[in-house]
Amino acid sequence: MIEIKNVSKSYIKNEKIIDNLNLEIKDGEIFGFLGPNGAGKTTTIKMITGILKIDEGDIFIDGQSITENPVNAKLNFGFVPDSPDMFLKLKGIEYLNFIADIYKIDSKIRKDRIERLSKEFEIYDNLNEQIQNYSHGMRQKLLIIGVLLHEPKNWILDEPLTGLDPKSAYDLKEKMKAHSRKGNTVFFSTHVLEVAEKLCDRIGIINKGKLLFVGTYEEMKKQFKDSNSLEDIFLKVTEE
Amino acid sequence: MKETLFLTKILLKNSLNKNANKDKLTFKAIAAKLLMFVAIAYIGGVVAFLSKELIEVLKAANQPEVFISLCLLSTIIIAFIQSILSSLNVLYFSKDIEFLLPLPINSLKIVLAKFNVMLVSEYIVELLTFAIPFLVYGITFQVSIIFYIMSILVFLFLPIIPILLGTILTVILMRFTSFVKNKDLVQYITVFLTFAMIIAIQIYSINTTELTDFMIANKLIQINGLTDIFADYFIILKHGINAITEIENRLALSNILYLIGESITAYLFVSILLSTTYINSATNIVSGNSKKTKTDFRKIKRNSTRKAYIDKEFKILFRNPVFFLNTVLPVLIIPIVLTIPFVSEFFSKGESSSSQAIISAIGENIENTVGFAICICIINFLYMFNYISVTSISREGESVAFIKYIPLELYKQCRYKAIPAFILNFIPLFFIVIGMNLLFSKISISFTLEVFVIGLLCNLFISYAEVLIDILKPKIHWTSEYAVVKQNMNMLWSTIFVLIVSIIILGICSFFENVHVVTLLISAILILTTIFYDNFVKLYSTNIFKKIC
Ligand SMILES: Nc1ncnc2c1ncn2[C@@H]1O[C@H](COP(=O)(O)OP(=O)(O)OP(=O)(O)O)[C@@H](O)[C@H]1O
Ligand SMILES: [Mg+2]
Repeated sequence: MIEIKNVSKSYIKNEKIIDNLNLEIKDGEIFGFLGPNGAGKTTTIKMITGILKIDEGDIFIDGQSITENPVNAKLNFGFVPDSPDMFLKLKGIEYLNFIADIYKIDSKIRKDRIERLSKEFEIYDNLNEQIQNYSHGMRQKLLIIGVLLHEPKNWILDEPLTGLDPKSAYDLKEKMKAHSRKGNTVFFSTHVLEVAEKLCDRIGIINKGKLLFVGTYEEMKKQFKDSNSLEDIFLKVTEE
Repeated sequence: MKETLFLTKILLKNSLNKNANKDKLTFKAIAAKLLMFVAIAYIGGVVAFLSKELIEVLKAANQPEVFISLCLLSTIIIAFIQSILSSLNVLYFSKDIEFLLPLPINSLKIVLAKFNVMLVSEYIVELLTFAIPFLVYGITFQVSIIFYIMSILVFLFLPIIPILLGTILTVILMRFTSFVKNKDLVQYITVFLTFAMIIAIQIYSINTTELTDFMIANKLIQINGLTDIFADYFIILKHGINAITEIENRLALSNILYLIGESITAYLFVSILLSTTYINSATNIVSGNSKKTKTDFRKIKRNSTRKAYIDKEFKILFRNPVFFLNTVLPVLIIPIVLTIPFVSEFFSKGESSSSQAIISAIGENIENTVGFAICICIINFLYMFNYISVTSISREGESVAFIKYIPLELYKQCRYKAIPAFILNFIPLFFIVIGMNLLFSKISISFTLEVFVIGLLCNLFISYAEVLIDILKPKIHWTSEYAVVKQNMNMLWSTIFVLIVSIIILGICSFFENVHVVTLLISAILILTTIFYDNFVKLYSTNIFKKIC
């Protein structure tokens, strides 16, 4: 469960990028975070994950405050950033082993999981190469495997589907569904409205730091009766 | 033509890595410029001084023109060697090729622009190796204006053909060998070769310090004989020499025209020749190893978080040539380079020499607070070349957010990041402590231990505190690793910081006369400061790490 309470953030004084944001993502839920470029999605995610300091308000992950109790809160989630160009000089396997060390995963378990997941995502044969030789999608898959490795209850993913091939995207979506079915939380941002519509239990639309809509797709259709697709609604909501 | 010039300008700007906010005259910018200026003025002064000496020697031997031919010869050789190194970087390893290739510019223009970039950087080198010596020569002999005009023309045209030759050599190498395709490896090799050369020159120059003026003059004239032979094969050298030394008659004019004609012809000819070959091979470069091997799952085992983190730091440091060569290598090389003069002095002369007497005199008087302070300052001076801690955050680049979202306390990461610098600093530390004992045989064990302990504590504090410098002002958003190690003000701050620490230690030492007392006092101060600093980082970690996201 992720609770965002009265959160505000500005990079430059008095210019609020996020303005009094309130959001609760419940257990067993897939939450899609939508909004135009520069709306504040990445900024929000960076605050949830403790990368950015929160100016006002607080965020709780499974009840642990990210400001008061950062380490415990961070143990409760796994995060895939929007740019996967990390640790380019490490080999894929070294990165995964490093992550497993940070999250203190037993060596037998990590071997099994790395082998299984890398075969599923079809980068098993590339694990012994440096990440700088990976393609964009392969880097992303590696980061996703890094998250799945320590089986956190909450997944936080910033545009996880961009750059993935159809099969990997399908696999990831299935994994998200299975994860939420087990009573866990998935929070991700995306620009693909179709994904949001089909995959998400609830959707949030943000623009200029303000949350414009939160709810299920059905609720949304009721609220905007004259629009017949999510695309229409999205364009209308974010117009002004 | 216009397009080529425009392209040259862009490439030059790119390679100089100009800062975007250059018009901001902040204190830091001024300080950096001032430092740069002092360094250049110093080197220029040394060159001018050496030139003056050589000219005087040759004047006495009645053959001053030898100076000119030697200068031209060295210009050609330097241009040739430098072009091999820089053509690798300019032609193959610069990122701009990926942006240039898709543009509708024909490859000849790209090659021409790239030549121009190399030529301009060669002119900058020539300012030191050519312009200053010739100016000194001109002032000494009160030469006519024609001498200067000819010199300028030679200055401009002489390096062209050597650069072309060096470039052709590189292009051939790139085409027919596979090892050169590995960018990282080539960078390691070139830097190691450069260091080998510096060390060789140093050893050679030590052996020649004993020569008299007369012998030097003879040697120079001997080398000049070689120049003559060389000039027979390398016609531009002869043209260059004649253009300057024969200004009294018509020979100079025809020679300079030959030189200009040859250079321009070669420049155009080689550019056309290379424009196809180069583009083909430039697109073939890969960086890093791309060997596909099977993953050995038996090697996967659990490590403590600390070990995993420090291992990661070392891997990133050692696998990235830019980081390794600029932050680690100086720590290893500088102690060696600095001690070569002492070592060869030590071995080349017997017991009877005067320097031996000086050494033993120092050895007998070193065990006091002054000697102690000097030992510590030398150790600290060597720590200055360790830029590992002060770049530990910036090196992460865009991956830096990782620090914040993993479940590992920030202050712990801060400690771990100090470890690589701390470990590598043991090299200069042992170097001095052992070297001190070899040089002065009478040093007591207690003095050695005391120097070691304070050196160790300084290492701990400096390595750890420099991480904070980088945390407060990290350089994260870079596209090329050079941004981290070049033009990074943090490196200057780290130098200043070590200087301050050294000055404080010097100050404390000057108040006392007993080495044991000083050791106790400084240890106490260093330990307390380190503990205080550690707690400070622990308490305020969220605020300290604010800039990192
Ligand atoms: N480091 C920064 N300094 C100043 N402003 C920033 C910084 N990072 C982001 N911003 C601003 O914050 C706003 C929100 O950016 P954010 O990255 O959260 O958008 P986003 O919703 O993720 O957009 P996209 O869909 O393009 O990823 C933008 O207006 C951007 O200009
Ligand atoms: Mg974003």
